[in-house]
Amino acid sequence: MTRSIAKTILIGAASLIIAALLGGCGNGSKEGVGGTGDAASRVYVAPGTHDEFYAFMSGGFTGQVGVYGLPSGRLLRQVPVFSQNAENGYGYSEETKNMFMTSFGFVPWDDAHHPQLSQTDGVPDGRWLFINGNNTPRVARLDLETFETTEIIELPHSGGNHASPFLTPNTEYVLAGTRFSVPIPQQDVAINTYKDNFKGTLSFIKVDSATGSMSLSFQILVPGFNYDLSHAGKGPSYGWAFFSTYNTEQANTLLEVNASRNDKDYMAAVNWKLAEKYVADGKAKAIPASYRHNYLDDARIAQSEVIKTVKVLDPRECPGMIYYIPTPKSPHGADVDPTGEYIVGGGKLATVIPVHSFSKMLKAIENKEFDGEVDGIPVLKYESVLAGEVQNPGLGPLHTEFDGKGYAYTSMFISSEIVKWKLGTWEVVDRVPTYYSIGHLMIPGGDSKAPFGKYVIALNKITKDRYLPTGPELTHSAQLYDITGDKMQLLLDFPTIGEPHYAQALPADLVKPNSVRYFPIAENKNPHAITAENQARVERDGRLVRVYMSTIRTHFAPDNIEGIRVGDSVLFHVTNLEQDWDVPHGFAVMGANNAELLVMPGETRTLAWKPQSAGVFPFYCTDFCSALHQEMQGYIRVSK
Amino acid sequence: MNVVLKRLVVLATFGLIVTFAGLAGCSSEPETDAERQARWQQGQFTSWELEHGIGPINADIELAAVDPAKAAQGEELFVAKCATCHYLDDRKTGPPLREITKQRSSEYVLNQILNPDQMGKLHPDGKKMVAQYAQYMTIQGITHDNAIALLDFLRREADKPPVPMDQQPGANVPPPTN
Repeated sequence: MTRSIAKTILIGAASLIIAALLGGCGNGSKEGVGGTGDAASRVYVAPGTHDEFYAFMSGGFTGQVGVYGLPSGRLLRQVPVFSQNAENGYGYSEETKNMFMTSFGFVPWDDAHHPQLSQTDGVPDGRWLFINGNNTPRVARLDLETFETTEIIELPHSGGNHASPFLTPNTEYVLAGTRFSVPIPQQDVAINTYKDNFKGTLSFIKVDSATGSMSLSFQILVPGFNYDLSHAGKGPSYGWAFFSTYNTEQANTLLEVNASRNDKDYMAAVNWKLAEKYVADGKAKAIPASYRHNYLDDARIAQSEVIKTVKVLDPRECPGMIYYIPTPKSPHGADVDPTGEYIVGGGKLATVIPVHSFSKMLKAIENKEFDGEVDGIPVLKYESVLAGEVQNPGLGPLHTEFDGKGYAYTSMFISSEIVKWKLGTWEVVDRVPTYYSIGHLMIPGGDSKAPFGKYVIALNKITKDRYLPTGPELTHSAQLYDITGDKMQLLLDFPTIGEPHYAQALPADLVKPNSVRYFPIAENKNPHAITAENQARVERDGRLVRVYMSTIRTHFAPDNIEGIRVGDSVLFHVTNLEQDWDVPHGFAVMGANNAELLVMPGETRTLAWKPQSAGVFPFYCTDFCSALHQEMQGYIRVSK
Repeated sequence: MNVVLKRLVVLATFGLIVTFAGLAGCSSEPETDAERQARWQQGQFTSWELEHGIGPINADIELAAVDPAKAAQGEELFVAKCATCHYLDDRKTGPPLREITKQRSSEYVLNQILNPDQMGKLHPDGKKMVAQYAQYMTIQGITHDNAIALLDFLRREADKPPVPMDQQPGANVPPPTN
């Protein structure tokens, strides 16, 4: 053990020395080589002990969520969300297939970007994690008692669910703005009629405070810009939500040039409390839509419902509901500080970081300090709302998080660095390099009312030479910095699953005690469950054969199945009778065209199998369950 | 560890100790749960524990005659929770159980049902069973009352003659289908 500590320290020291050499010019050497020895001990979590924080990182285009421990950076689990997962049968088993249903049919992949922890009174409460699917617009909810995806709702009238799923302080609503505007309703029009025919939507998904269940409450129809990111107000700005926009030029081709012409785009400020009132007053118009709502029911079986209508608010008919704040330039992040007073725009192409003042915004609205309007939405005067600008922050400011001690930390994509600056004075007080091309950054609780602080994590897009090469396709990475002192200090650099697009973290104690260990067999409501081995059986209904199968260390019942015929459809309903922690059983059958099943203790999962030819085919347990695991097998005989 | 254990057994044999506290040379303060757990982790057991197992049952219990209603309830539980791994009259995943109440004390049987994890990992006789069957007994979340019912069922069955395999409790040979 001592040797492994020494090794870890050596590795840590070596990587920091390399880091210092690579970033050796300019600001690069700020974290210095001096502190490297103790950097390793500060991220060392001894074998058998637990990390202080859970971190939930989006897996980006893997469609999954990576769960990591901090400060060690150890990967604890990958939770499949928008991607089928052959490893445990998620999206393949009969009980979970429906999670992938959309208005386009079965869509087994999505691009997951922004995890958001449910909040109570503006701080993470450890109940649920929400995450967006960009490509086929969806929002998923994970239950943090089971670490599984329990609900996915599709969004109609959205062309790319990027400004999502940001939460109001008591998880009243999930905010979801469309990145791509589209014809609403969809229709066959020339693309160059964009300005006339394309619209955006800002969706408000209501969350049931007891169950977490989501329902699309209303959408606000907005001009056809790109809605990029969002955050809800808190404290004094509670009741408001902010969405950044780009392409206010409304270009429909070569956006890199044509959507970068305006010096300023907008931050949309939405009074959602007022919007809620307009809906209650009947101002919303129900329009046709078609979208899916998928959820695990009481029997832990995914149901999929089609919903055919949605309520829409038109800002022209809802005065005071939405304003545009000019914001330089093609802003990305829309980040609200812990006090709720400041709204920071990540002015991606700007030379400054613009910070808006909520109180000044209210005054400007009151004094009608407007600079025209767009489609009935008043545009506020930039100077009237501006709190301050951070000068010369670096290149490509994207996202900002907060430490709760009066400082903000902004990621700089182009100059690959994190810049720390002071709220109120807007002066830059520290900067550190990242390796390389940081996108989002994350402080535990760093977008909440009461950040937990301690660390900032850089979520990097490019790793190049940071690790042993693995051919043309390389891992992405996260980097952990200590922010307890005046100077940020790089402690750890670790590879991630997919693209760690954005992340959230919270103290482990908010999640750990609630973690489910097994499902009580007496509460198993799956209609095809069996609760004792003597209920194991094979039933035929025409060409459909149901095998009611149990597993326990170390056998299947039944384990010899005969009487199956070519042309039958076989459903293996596998119930794991174990009632102990960490004793899943796997089920794999030769020739299955789908996947395996991993069945948790007390759970029932079903695999469909179509015998293709006569013969005898083995099945076996895939999850090494005990010393007699290799004996856990059976045969199924198929006759002509 | 083994030395301590042997010493314990030897001492017990000579009747020199009655309680562990006496052995450990402590005062007559009753042992706390934490102290007991620590002692078990170190492989130190009293002679009572060696005979009757470790777990929630830590003193002799008074057994009434077999209660037919309880035994019937125990049979249902046996079918649901135990028959996955046990026959009465042959080895399955675990040992045959017809004569278990004659082979071991009631207290031992109850501890095995209620505390299978520690019985298998810590208790010398439990460890031997794990070595023999290459398998820890699974935790089935059985309550104290249910364990008593199971015990009554096992006591009821203990004096009966063996039965064919297809008549073992919970026996199920799934019929082939066509």
